Amino acid sequence: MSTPVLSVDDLRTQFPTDRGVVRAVDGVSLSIEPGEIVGLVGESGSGKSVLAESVLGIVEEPGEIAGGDIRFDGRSLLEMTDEERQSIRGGRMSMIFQDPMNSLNPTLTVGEQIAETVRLHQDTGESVTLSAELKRKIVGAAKNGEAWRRAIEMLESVQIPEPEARADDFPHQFSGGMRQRAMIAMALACEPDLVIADEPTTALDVTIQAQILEELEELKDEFDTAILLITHDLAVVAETCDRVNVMYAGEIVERAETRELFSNPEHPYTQGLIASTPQLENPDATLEPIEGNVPDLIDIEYACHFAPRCPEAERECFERPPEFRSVGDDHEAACLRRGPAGDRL
Amino acid sequence: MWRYIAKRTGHAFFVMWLVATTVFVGLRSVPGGPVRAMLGQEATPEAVARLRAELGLDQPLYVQYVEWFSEMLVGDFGQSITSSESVGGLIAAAAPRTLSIAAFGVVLGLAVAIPAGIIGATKRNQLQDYAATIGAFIGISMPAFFVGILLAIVFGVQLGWFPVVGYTPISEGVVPWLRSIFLPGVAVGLPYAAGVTRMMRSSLIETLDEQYMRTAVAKGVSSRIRLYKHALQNALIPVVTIAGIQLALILGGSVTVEIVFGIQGLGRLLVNSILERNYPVTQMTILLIAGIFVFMNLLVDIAYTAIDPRIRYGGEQA
Amino acid sequence: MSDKNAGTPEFARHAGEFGPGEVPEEYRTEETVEEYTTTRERIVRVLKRDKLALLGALVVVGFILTAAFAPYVAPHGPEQQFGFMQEPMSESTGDFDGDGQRETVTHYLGTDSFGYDILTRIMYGAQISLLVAFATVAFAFTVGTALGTLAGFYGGKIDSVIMRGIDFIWAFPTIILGVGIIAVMGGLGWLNVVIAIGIAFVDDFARIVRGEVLSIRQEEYITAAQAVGMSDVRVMFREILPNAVSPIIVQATLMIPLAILGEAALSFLGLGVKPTTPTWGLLISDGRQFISQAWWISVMPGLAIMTVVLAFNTLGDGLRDAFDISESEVN
Repeated sequence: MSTPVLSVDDLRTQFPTDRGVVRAVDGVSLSIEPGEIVGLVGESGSGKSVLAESVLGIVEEPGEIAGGDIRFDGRSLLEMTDEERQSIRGGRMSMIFQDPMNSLNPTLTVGEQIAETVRLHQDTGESVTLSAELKRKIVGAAKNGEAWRRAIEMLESVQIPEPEARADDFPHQFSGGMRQRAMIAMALACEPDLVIADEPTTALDVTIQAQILEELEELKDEFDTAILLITHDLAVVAETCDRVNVMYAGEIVERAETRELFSNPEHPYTQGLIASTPQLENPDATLEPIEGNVPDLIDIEYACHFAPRCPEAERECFERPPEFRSVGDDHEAACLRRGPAGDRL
Repeated sequence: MWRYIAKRTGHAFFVMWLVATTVFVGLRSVPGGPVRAMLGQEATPEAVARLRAELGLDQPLYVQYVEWFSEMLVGDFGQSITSSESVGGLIAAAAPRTLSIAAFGVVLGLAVAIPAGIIGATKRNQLQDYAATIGAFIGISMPAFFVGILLAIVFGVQLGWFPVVGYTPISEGVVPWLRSIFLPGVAVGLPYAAGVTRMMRSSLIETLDEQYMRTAVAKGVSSRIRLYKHALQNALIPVVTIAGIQLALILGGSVTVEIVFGIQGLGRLLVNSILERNYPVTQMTILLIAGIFVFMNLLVDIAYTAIDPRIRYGGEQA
Repeated sequence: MSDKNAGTPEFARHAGEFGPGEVPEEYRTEETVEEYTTTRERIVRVLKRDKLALLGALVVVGFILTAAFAPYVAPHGPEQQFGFMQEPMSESTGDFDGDGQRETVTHYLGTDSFGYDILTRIMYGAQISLLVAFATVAFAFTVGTALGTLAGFYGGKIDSVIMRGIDFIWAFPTIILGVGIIAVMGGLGWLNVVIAIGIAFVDDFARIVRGEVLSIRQEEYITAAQAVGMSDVRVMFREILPNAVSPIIVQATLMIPLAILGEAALSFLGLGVKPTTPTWGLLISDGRQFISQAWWISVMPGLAIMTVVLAFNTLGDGLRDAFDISESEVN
């Protein structure tokens, strides 16, 4: 097996608050191989965005990484200096955010926002000092420069029509779908090894969602980029991902290859999640919501975070932390009541 | 963009027309009429009639209105009642003094406020932020004329660095001119700076929280370039509006500060004309000050097109 | 299997002892429910938590009480004269209370060019300065709220006429508008001053109230009230205005200091109220020509203005944070 692009090991990210410590990411491990699309599924509040921010190193104050390790291409990110991490961000590792309406700067042209990334991370021979950048902001970037050419190339590859002309547009002149394409162009401009896409299609119309996902897959193949796709939408996962991690209340509860997960969900939470999602093949099936809500992540005292909502919980579920058990071919679930040992309870 | 500018210009003209008409009607509805007010209750009917005819007040109101308006448009602002000078001449003598003070105040105010606001927002909850915030808080709590008196006591009377009284025209040299308007300019500029600092700080804090600033972090942009290239222009958009509206503080402040420093500007002209019931002067001075304010805000609206691309290209919003 | 397992979802393979929503005794936590808080409770909570706002409130109350009880708390009568331009903390000796004995009194803030005790004059001056400020805001509040409610509630032509009229108020710097109105009405009476300054604030109240009314008008309970046949006036007073109350309170708190400054500027220009005891602005103006001999005559009343304005501003800022109103909405 090759070195994983990303391996997260027992990561803990917490936010101290007035009411106690919020453990947004509470001992998560996962890995991504080069060129694969890995899904991270969970409800809002499950900590999946904080996990993404931890990997990129952009956790907002007062959040902090309290334990574990994140390795990027074999090197620990947590041991790097701020400068080193900054040089990786946007270059070898980039991110696509959920909200295309607010993720682009309204006072910079779309072309400049992409070209800036290129200048920062690739040797284009163009100066990136503050004064050079401010000058570009005021008089515009050099149109014959390598960075600008690359920006136009990227806009073209994300299917923006007339990219030379549109590169000079400001974000408000783009539609929502076009803005998200521009975001993708920006994230892929430096041919990164890893792209973290946080709900990249949630804010878009359904028809545009499909197009964007398709493009994302094509670009992945073109640049051989690994993608961590974060979403609450099982349909998006089923369509695009090679492997899936299911996250609940700061923990990963199940992981498997996509087809396997959908045909044999093991963890009660995953089962509930699938049962509560409309199935195209079986439109008559009744939808069963999971009762209750994702718990407040402050000071959870019971061992399995899903236990209070779980239909199968026993006293032991509250007392003994569940470890990962193999429940199938390359398929693991963190539940005391699953796997060969599970039946004994 | 041109549609936007045309719209704002049209609005400015509309407001000025409304102001002029209101001032015209307002001063003619003074109890007993302006002539009575000017001559006093004991004036003989003949004297009243003579003055009324002299001022054209015996004509029907709409005739007066049309005449007044058309004369004003060709630059004839009428005669002062208490002296033989023309209103235009009086204003032309006074306006440069007030405008010098106001312009100095604005430049100084912005030069203090924008850096102070940036420091407050970027060093949030640190010593520098507290200093800027407390300074701004005290600044908005002091009337300009009181700031003027404090400055006059400290830098004029005690230290003797600047003159306490009078104005030196720029024609007598730039340095004496600057010295004469320095203290009054600071006096109107500081309360203005205080308001703009507060706005700059809160606007920049809000901008730094925006999603596109997180995008910039995720792209690997350094914090300095994030601040100056990505955040500053966005943060300035609401500040420009406030900086325009707060010009009212500068103009209102100049009127009182001139009196502190014994400068014969528009403020002194206005107050004296009211005390002497010199209505032609009162009405033109008020119109001029309102006009300056409206015009400055029109400039601010136009400055918007440079600072907000959403207005420059297609924008519907104002 | 017990009865409760009837509710077990289909996907579950076993029914656990603790079904969905069931938790062993020792793991139960209390539910936190967000409580409704009244306006008064929220104000009290700000004052408890925000020490600066509390200090502001105390200073404001202190000034109001001093003004109200000036004849009792002031060290001397407002017309009592001592030596001219005595320094702060200087003393005068003489029979000042008319009991036939000589006594020594301290002038904590000095005396002015007429020999009046400055502390005494400031305390009496507070009466007019504060009264005019409160009356001004009350006036602007009444007129502004009425116009804003009408504009927001009826919309259309009424709205555009009112809002255009308000546009024009905007065209004048506060002091200039005040001076212009004084020019028309003549100075002297405090009511004229109140109207002169108050008009400049009408537009702020009108805009806020109009905005609130526009957003509240869409709410279902307003439609419901109209559907059951409530009259327009009743809907406005009973249903809409009470919901717009917090931004209005905040605005009013932040307007009072502006009114104090406006009144001070007018009386500084000699165009304000001309009562027997002078206002703060007039006190500053009186001392202006003596700044080289007796700085304290102007500075002391100036500090009084600054202190009370600062106090109102800290209080207003605290309230604004408490009601979670953005600075762009109210300023």
